[in-house]
Amino acid sequence: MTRRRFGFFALLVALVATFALSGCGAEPTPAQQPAAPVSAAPVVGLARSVPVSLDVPSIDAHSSLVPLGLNADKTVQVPPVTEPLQAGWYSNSPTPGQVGPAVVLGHIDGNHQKGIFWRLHEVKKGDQVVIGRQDGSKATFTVTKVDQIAKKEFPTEAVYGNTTDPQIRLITCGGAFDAAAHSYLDNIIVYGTLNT
Amino acid sequence: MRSALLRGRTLVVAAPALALLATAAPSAVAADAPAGSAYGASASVSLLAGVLGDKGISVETGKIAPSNTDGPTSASVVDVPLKGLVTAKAVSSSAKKTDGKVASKASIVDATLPVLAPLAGATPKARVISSECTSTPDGITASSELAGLDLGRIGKLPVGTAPNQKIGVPGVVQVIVNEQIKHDDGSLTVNALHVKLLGGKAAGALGSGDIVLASSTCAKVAATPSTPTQPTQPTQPTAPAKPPAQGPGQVTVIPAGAPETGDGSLATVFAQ
Repeated sequence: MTRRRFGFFALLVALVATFALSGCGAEPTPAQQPAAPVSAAPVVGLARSVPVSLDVPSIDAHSSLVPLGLNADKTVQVPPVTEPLQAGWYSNSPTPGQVGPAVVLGHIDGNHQKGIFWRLHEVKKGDQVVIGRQDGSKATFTVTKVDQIAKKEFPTEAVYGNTTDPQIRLITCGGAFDAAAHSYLDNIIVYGTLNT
Repeated sequence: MRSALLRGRTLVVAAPALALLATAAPSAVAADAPAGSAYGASASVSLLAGVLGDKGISVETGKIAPSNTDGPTSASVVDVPLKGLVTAKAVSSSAKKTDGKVASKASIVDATLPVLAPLAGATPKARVISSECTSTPDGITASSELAGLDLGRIGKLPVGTAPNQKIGVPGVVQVIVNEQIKHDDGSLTVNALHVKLLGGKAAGALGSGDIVLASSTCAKVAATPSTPTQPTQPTQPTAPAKPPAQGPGQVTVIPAGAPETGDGSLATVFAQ
């Protein structure tokens, strides 16, 4: 019995925490308002359908999408750096349009070329992100937040944590490049919510 | 005789919002599951003819010497022959919950594994094969001990501390040492030794099935949301098959660290 009560309590805590996260920097939209913590009907979102294309018109970024998994060290895979214009979708995240944070990754540069997300830092709140899906439908998201954050402080919860509505994350690298570590020091993260 | 103490520390309790939300429903559903459980051994195998005796045999032992926090909290069996696959002087387990802490243990004393003799060159023996896990609000830790275990020609037992180290003969047998499996509800199972028989086609084949020795499972215990800790233990990606709390979507496996996108070939600002 106590365990059951814990499950209920955990759900409450988690709901509150999730709202706090997804609300950071973004105006809470009506869809994000919890009516009643547990009995509230969740936003349904679209059915699962694998994403096939990405368009961010404001920065002229257009790419097909390849599925990405995990590397042996459990970091997320990225598309081949030799094809920096290829974006990818993290396949352990929901398909864009489903409830939850769909994660799309792309390079800032690679092989001495600009990457698909070379200009991701220029994205502004209110910009549109259009994902084409295998079922022929499109899921269009409105950007709610753009962050540049140090990799060592990568906001795992905000990026990968459960959400109550369909959301999108676009991620690339940014900031200064640490040549010794072969790594940019920051990530640029764009957050968006599905247009309804 | 060599002795290896293998400790794979696995913190399973993760960030407050993230982990709790992800597991809220499963833990509510599994409200009646015991917080901790353990068993000494189990085998579910089909052996080919000639491996142990002239005829092929199928063995399904169920869990031997099982215990769980709902009781019985301890169990032991003396002189256990698992149909000749494995013998042991004593097999025991315990699973206890005290002050919000769950501890499960399983051990096998003076074990032999005749089933692996054809591959090992001699019957593998071990003085102790044991596993244990402890669950507190800070997370779950698990470890295995394999004292004096020699698998002969099958391979040298890894001495490292990492969980899920594998040795074996391709297509015939895989031995997983200190196997740690994280379940969808946040619980963790540690098997000191998991022998997988991989089928009957390859040369030297024994048969198919699984033998698990010294298995302990700990559920998550109620956490007061505190410092976020990243899970270090991967789970099998179970993508769309198992919908989590909030509908069909959500991230099923949280990657470690930050994504590495870009090779810096066009970087204009360099760190000192």
